Amino acid sequence: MLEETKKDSQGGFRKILFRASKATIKGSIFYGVYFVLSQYMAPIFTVVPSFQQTIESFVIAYTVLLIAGELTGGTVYQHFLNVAKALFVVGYLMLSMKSGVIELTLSSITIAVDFRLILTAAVLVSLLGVAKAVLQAVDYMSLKAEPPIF
Amino acid sequence: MDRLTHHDKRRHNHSTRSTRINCNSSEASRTATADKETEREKAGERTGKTRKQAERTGRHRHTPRRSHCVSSAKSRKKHETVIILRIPLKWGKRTLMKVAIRTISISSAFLWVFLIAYAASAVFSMKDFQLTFGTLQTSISAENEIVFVLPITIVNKGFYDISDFNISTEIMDEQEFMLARGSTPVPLIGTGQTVNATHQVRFKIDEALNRSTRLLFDDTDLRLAQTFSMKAAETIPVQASSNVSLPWGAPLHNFTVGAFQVSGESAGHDWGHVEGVVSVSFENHAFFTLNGTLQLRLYNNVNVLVGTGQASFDVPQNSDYHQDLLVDVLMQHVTTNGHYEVFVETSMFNVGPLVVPYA
Repeated sequence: MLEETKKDSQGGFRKILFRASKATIKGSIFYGVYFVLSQYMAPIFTVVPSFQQTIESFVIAYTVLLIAGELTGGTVYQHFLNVAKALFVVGYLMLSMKSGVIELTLSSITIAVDFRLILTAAVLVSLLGVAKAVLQAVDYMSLKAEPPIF
Repeated sequence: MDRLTHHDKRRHNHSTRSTRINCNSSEASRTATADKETEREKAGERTGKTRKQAERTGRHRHTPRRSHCVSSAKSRKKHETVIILRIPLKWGKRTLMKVAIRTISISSAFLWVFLIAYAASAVFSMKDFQLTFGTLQTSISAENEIVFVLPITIVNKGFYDISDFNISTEIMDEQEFMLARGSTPVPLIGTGQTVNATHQVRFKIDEALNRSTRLLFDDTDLRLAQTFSMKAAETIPVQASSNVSLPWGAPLHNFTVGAFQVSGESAGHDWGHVEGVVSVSFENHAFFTLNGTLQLRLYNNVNVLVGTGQASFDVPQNSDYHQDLLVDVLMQHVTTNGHYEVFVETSMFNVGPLVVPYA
């Protein structure tokens, strides 16, 4: 009996360790991708410093949700966090891009770039992410409620 | 129960037929009788299995008890069919839901990669877009219009075509009054293409000076609003606009009409007529030469025409003009105050009457 309890606690510890390492790896990969892309986007950041801040705050919030989602893997909270992450992307895209028209002022020249078409496409793709997260949550709940037939 | 009467057999046959027809309806299951139970037990005995055994094998697991409307081998086949229909919902251990989730994941990842790659490459290809302006040239057309000519060179070395390129210029005065407008469209600039275009703005000076008389007398700054618009990668509209001030030199700057001065006694055919002099001066700050005639009419304080005078002039750019105009007046109508009406007719514009009071 004591051995069984010991084995259970060891299994639980391993699970947590596995989740933590998975979250660390995913977070590192995500940050690595951002780091590489930011090197390419450096000329844009120098022209538009506010763009860098916007991207950075997005990366921070997304990474936090990503790590939290991984740490709570196998529980219903993971699905809550996944839905929150997908909704965050949709909301962030809509708020940060301010109706999709970006205006820059360089000395006496004002440049306006209309990203509305791209933004619409991005929001639609993000909605796919929301749908996926919701389906995952439904699947998780149904699996918990009903044991598999085969 | 093993022995059935003839009546029971008939009833049994009738009920079996009817349940075969209505085997899927709940009503049929509701009308199932004890005979069917008996028959089911019999069928169980024939196959060598009891109901419990059958349940244990899993075949009847999801078959509701009340829906046991048949007892023959055919009806059992029907139940099996119902189970077989559920099998496509399972695909090995992976449920259909998981397949749907995986499909959404793959398609969403693919779409994100495509969207980001497309948007990033479209924006990055903009850095290989070059717009070069030549020297602004000014000329006067046959219709006496001032024509601003700006040569443009457009080079597209990006990944995508640029469509709907348009450069437009609007010239406005200080009070945002539109004086001239011109636009030059270039429908398509392919990748690796160089397009040379000439942007022209025609400025109808006669129309502009008659609308905005301040431009006639005061040096000012005109507002030149330039807008470049295009569609990068044929999908992302980009617009750049700039405001430049353009100095404007007035053609009749510091225009002054002096007091009427009598120069002699009776002048000519009718007594009472005298010849007088009115001094007129101005500075030509315009970028063109003024040549034409200046006509002056003298009115007294009750708006009666007293006399007229006329002079021709040829004033080059940035030069002063000063002339004593001879005016033949009817002395008896001359009053101490009144007004002049001045008409200026040049090759570039005609203005008048310009009302100048005198005292």
